[in-house]
Formats: sequence, structure tokens, C-alpha cells
Amino acid sequence: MDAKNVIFGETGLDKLVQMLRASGQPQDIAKLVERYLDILRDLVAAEEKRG
Amino acid sequence: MSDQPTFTGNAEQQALAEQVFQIMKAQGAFFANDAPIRQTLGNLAEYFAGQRKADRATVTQELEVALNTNNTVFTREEQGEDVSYVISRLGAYRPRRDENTHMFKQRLYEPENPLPVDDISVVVTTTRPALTTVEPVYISDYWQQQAGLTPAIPGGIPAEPAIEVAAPAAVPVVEAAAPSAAAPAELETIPPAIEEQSAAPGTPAEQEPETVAVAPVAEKTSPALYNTMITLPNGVQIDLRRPTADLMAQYGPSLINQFRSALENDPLRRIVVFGNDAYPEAAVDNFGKNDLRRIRDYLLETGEPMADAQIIADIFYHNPRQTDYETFRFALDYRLSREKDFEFVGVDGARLWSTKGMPAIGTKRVKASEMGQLTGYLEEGFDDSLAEQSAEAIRKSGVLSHILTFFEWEYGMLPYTKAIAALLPSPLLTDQRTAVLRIESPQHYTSALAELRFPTGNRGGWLQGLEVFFHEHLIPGALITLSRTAEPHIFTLTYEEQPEQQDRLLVLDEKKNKLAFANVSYYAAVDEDMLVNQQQYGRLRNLKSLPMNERRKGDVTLEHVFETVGEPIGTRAEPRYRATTNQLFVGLNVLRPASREYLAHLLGDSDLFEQDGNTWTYTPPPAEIEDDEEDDDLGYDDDE
Repeated sequence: MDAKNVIFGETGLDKLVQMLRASGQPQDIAKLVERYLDILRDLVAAEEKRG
Repeated sequence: MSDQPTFTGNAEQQALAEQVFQIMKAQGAFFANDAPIRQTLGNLAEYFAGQRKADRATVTQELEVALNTNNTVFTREEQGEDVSYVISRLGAYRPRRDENTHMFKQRLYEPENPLPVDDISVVVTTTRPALTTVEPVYISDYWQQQAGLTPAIPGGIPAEPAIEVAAPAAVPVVEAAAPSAAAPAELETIPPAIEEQSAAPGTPAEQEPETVAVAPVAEKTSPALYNTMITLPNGVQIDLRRPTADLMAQYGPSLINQFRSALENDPLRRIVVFGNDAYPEAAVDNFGKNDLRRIRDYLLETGEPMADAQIIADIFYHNPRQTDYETFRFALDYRLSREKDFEFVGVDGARLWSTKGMPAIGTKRVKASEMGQLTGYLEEGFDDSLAEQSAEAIRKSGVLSHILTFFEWEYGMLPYTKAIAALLPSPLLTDQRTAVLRIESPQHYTSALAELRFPTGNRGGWLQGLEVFFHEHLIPGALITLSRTAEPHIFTLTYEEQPEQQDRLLVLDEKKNKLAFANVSYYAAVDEDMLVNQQQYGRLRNLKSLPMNERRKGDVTLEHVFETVGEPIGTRAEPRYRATTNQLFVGLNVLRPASREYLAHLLGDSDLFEQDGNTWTYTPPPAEIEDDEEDDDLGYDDDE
């Protein structure tokens, strides 16, 4: 995904939900933001690789 | 359906692997086919050691070899020293991948066959926003090709890498807001092969690498030039190339706030937050009316706010060792926070819940709205509590000393100054109004519940509920020490004991609603200047116990205090009064809480007060109606 299209707090949230659910217990929001940044980075990097 | 995977290794290893697979499959009998089923090596070894009556270490080794040989089925996971294996009911566990490329959002932004437009200005708006926030504007590759900004690639495949080149010319894409040394660094380390490609025919081959300009390189495809800048809702741009730790260090609070508000504004409420914890809404347990009624009855029966852990243990019989305990606890907290009958009164680390109809904590003589107004001076910026001790020192030491004023002693409250705020916990929820704390007295082996009211808007905060303790053991002017304990919601209140002393101290006669001096014995060390005894502040017996709605007017209260404690120096026709700052401070704090800074503000703000060194003179405005009786009451006859 092009970084220009990323909407913070919306793009990739489904992946974060899956990850959070798989973890099996509530997570600290700061840790969650870190995970979310990783997800966004992966999305942007995937685009880069595809290019 | 044959869902039995094939196992490898020697016969013994195959048998062992199959046995483990069957056990784990039985463990996840009710799981979805592709859900992960985890089991630790330790548990498996313990089971097999018991079954075979063999040495556990040997069994562990055998299991490890057998399962590692069959690593196509058993995925090994290591967390510290713990080793676990994951399978699914179908065999090997493969995380689910949701195909969402066909989503409407995707199709909206990247249509396969976009409709043509005649003029590119239709797409790139020329209107300026009211606030000049710099936001990158996404222009589809199709339109950029149509506008001639990027060359069209034969075959209809958009030349995505070229977007970056064109974008700066057409749209206001902002350069890295953060210090992004990463991009230039990457540009400089472009392999020579790409450099050669980038050079136009005829370009001298001996060109120095440093002199390779960014632009010519960028004209050709280069992975390093992909846009990795994302824009937060508040306009801040961050570069995803930077490590997460760096981003969190620089933008941590902002990122968390933006993320939190994004979750709150998510119409699907996919992730819900309670305090600092978050969890998918779909996985949060629901509580029925009956559950809520049982919780409410339990709270009413105990008569005081209870911790979530206590509620779970006593009502739902959940054990902290259960795997879903934290999830259940989160569900309870989150669901109760959505119920209007329950109020969160806890702090981080001690999540307490209260409900309607529970006994009030603290004085009923002053309404919460009145107290909020009385302590409003703190929110107006007249808080000088950190003059002697910094907030950092209080936070670090966990100890705060304070001299009680008459108002604080009488109503068992302490204003929520910056000093107290540094000691006491902050609210866990954004809309939290109160927190219930337990104040223990190690000197008397007693404890009391105290309610901490957080400031809201222009109304100040305060801690209340200490009335009984103050009246039993302390007097106005006593030096108290409030200390933190290991529990976040428990504090200790101590004072320095001394041999019994007797004095005539100011007391409020509730029935007559009058102030008077009475003989009092006390055992606490006091600040002599703040001790409201007859010898120092005898005139205070004439102070009217003004109604609370009048006391909130600081200037009116001060004038009354001045007329009472001040020494009359004028005439009957033109009365004037003189008093020291300390007398006024003690007198004002009989009727309402006030800081020295607030007193100085009131004195300096009115023309009626004149300063003369450490003393002040007050000239009341000429009264239109003379009332002899009133004058007599105000007491020009100072018999003290």
C-alpha cells in the first residue's frame, strides 16, 4: 500500500485486531501502537517489494 | 475426511509424534479447524513421563527430537526458556490470511477502469483549506499519466515508482518532518549498477559517487524512493523507515493519543479500550442484567467500593490462574464502564467500582458543587503548593507534608493542589470524576475511605473523608504527613506526636452556626503561626459563618475577614482596619480554603486594600445605610 493512502487508526486495523485476539489477553495500548506501526510498515514495505 | 498428517522419522519417532498430535488435537477438539493449538514441551514431557514411568529428561529429549523431525506439522515456538509446539486440527498451523483486496475501499481508490475527465484541475483541487495544514494529496496513477506528469507504461501497469518523482512537482507532499537521515543515506548508497543505469548516454563514467545528484537518480526506479511518510490526523508526518522504538521515543504520547481517539471514533468499535488496556470488542464477554444486578447488590452489601478482582472472585468465582482471567477482568471493567449504574472510582493498579445508592464518603455539610467552587482558585493559577517542594521531589519520595488550616480540619478535606496531585494517583479514565483512596493511620491502627475529586473545568479538586480522623487526633495548625504505600490506592497519614497540651482553640458550633473558642487538649506538633488559638486570633470569634455560596466569592469573604481580624484604626464614620498578611491568611482559611498567592491576588486586585510593608490596610466602601447594631457586633471593642 502506498503510504499516502494510509489512514492512521484505520488502515491495517483488522490485522491488528486479529493479532490482538490471537494474543488471548488485553494489551497495553503503547505496545499496541508499536505493533500497529509494524503492521503499517509491513504494508508499505509490501508495496515497495511489489514495485 | 482424512485429516491425518504424515509423520516422518524412525518408527518410534513417528509413533510418538502421532501420539502427541492426537493428544493436542483432542485438546483443541472444539477449536476451529485452522485455529492454533499450543502445548508446552514441559507439559508433554510430564504427561509422557507419567505414562511411561520414565525419566522426564529422557522423555523431553525424545519428544523434542520426534517433534523437531516432524517440523512440518509441529511448529516450534520459544519464549525465553519455554518451548511450545503449535498445530491445528488439520495438521500444521498456518495463520489465516484474509483476502481483502476486493474491498470497496480498495476499488474506490484504485479503480480498474477510471472514468476520464477533461481537465486535471477537476482532480487536483485548487481551493485552500481554512487552516493551512499540510497534507499529502493522493492522485491516482491514472490521472498523473493523463496529465503527463508520469510516463505511461505500455501494458497498462502503472509506473508506481515514478509517482514519487512527479509528486513534489504537482502536490504539496511535505518533506520529512522528522529528522530523516535515512532517506538521503539510502540514496547515497545506491549500488553502482543503478548509478550507471541512471546516467544518461554519454555521461562520463568517471563521475564521482558524491556528485550524483538526487534528482537524476530519482528519475529512474529506485526502491529507496518509495514514499514511507504517513500523516497522523493531527498533521504530524512520520517516516515508517525509522525504527519503531525511535518513533515511539519521539512521538509516543502523540501516537498513543491519536490511536486512542481513532479507536474511539471507529464506527465498528473493533478495538475497545479501558484505561491503558485494549482488546477486540468481539472477544469481550458480555454481562447480562442478572450479572449486573448481582454486582450491584454485592457492592451495596459491602457498603464500599470494591476492586474488580474482588468482584470476580466473590461473584463469578474466577481464579487468577485461569487462562482467561485477564480477559474476563477486562470485560468486567469495560462493560461496567458502559453502565450508568456503576461508576469507576479506582486508579491504575486498583480498579475499584462503586454503584448508585452507596454511602457517601466525606462531609455532607458542603455540596460537591460548592466545594468545587471554593477550590476553584487552584485552577485559576493561584496554587503555590510547590514553592517549598518540587513535584518531582514529592513524586520521587512519595511523601508530602502539609499544615492543616481551620477549614481543612473542620470539613476533613485537603485541596487538590499540585503538590497533592504529585503524590496521589492521576485518573485512569479520561472522564473519571472521582477516585476512592484508603487513608491509613499507623499511629492509631485505623483507616478511612477518602474520596478524591478531580478538578473539572474551572472547578478545583479536593480530597475528602478525613473529618473523623482530623477531629479525633489533630487540630488546625497541625503538621501532617501523607505518604504513599506499595498499593496505589492506599496512603498513610501521620503526624508528630508530643506531650499533651491545652489551649483555647477556635471551634465551630454547628447548632448555633457560630465560631467560638473552647478548651481543647491536643497531642500533635503544630505550626505556632497557624494555630488558631484565642491568644493569637481572638477576634475570629466574631467571624460570621457565612453560607457556602457567599464564601466562594473570595473578595467578599476577605472583606468580612478583614473587618473581623483587622485592628480598627479609623473612626466610626470612616472605619479602617489593619492586619498582617498572616492574620488574613489564617482568617480567610477559617471560612474557605485559600493559598497565600490567592490572598495576595485578592489584596492586590482591589483598591480598598493598601499595603504597608507586611501589613495591609482596608478601607471599606462608604455604607449607605448605617446600622448601629451591626457595628456593635463587628466589635470595635477588642477585649482580647
